[in-house]
Amino acid sequence: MMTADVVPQGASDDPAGATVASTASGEAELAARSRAFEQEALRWLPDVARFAMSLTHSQPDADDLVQETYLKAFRSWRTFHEGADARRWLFTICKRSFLQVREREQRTVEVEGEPELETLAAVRMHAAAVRSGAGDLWAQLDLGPAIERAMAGLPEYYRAVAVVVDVEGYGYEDAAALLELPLGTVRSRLFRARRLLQESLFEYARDAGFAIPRATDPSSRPARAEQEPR
Amino acid sequence: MYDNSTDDRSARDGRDAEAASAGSADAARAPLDCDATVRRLWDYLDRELSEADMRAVDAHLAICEKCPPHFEFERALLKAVAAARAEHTEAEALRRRVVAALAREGYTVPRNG
Repeated sequence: MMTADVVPQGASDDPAGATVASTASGEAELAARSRAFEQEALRWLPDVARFAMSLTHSQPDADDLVQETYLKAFRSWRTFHEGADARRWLFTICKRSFLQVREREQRTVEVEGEPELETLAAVRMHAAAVRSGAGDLWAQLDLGPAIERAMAGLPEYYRAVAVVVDVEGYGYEDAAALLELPLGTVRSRLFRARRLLQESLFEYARDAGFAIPRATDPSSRPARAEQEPR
Repeated sequence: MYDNSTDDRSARDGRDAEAASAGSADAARAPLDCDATVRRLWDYLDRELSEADMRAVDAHLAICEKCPPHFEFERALLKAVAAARAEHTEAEALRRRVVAALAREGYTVPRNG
């Protein structure tokens, strides 16, 4: 960080003049950096705020996360390549900050199964709903609050993928780059997240009086947790 | 496995969809059965399948009575999730807070003009 009283090494034999010149140069550089940051990074603050809200489901937590994101972004602004996708870069910083605390706290990692089995499980749920006369369930429920609750209930590493793809609209490849995950992992976590969301919404429907049978097939149960050595 | 035991079309079409998805041209591709189609459901809705696979799913949905409702159901779910995204209600106050924090790091608010 440049401050007014930093004196570069190798100052000339006119230290006062050199100090003034270097200070002016430092301030000009800082002003230029601030202008570029304003134009390329701060313009995305509403999007980053919304992304943080989707991840945290708590406005105070989202505010902290947004501030942390922008501080980290400003500190590492020199690493940002002009013309690159600043929005995605900021989302990646935000995601890292969101998950790093939770990854430290997490003691187990769920074994992620074959993605297509999640698809089949979701379709089986719909088939069960159809048989019980609730095939157009989404049209009969007030989904907004239910989805909010369901998303908030997802484990963070599934929620992050669901937010990036299903809320923010990134394709698999861009999501993998943003989330810093292999594409296969994005896909498997995304499909699991969707199946879990659907299960949660079906529970909401049962609470609302819909008689939808629960899936009893073993492949519809959550994967077993494995202990990850720390 | 996806229960398609009552699907007559699926019972008639017993060709291996996995062999068909090995990159062969459309003309030689075996039509997808219900199981193979449903397995591709989310990739299809996300438009992440190859063009050949997208066409193969389209072809199956055009002739199948059982699968389209599943696709519509999941499509409606994804649409609802996208529409229900959480919005930040105090963006301006947050911006002031962020700018104040950045100023402590040396950020200077650019002057207009």
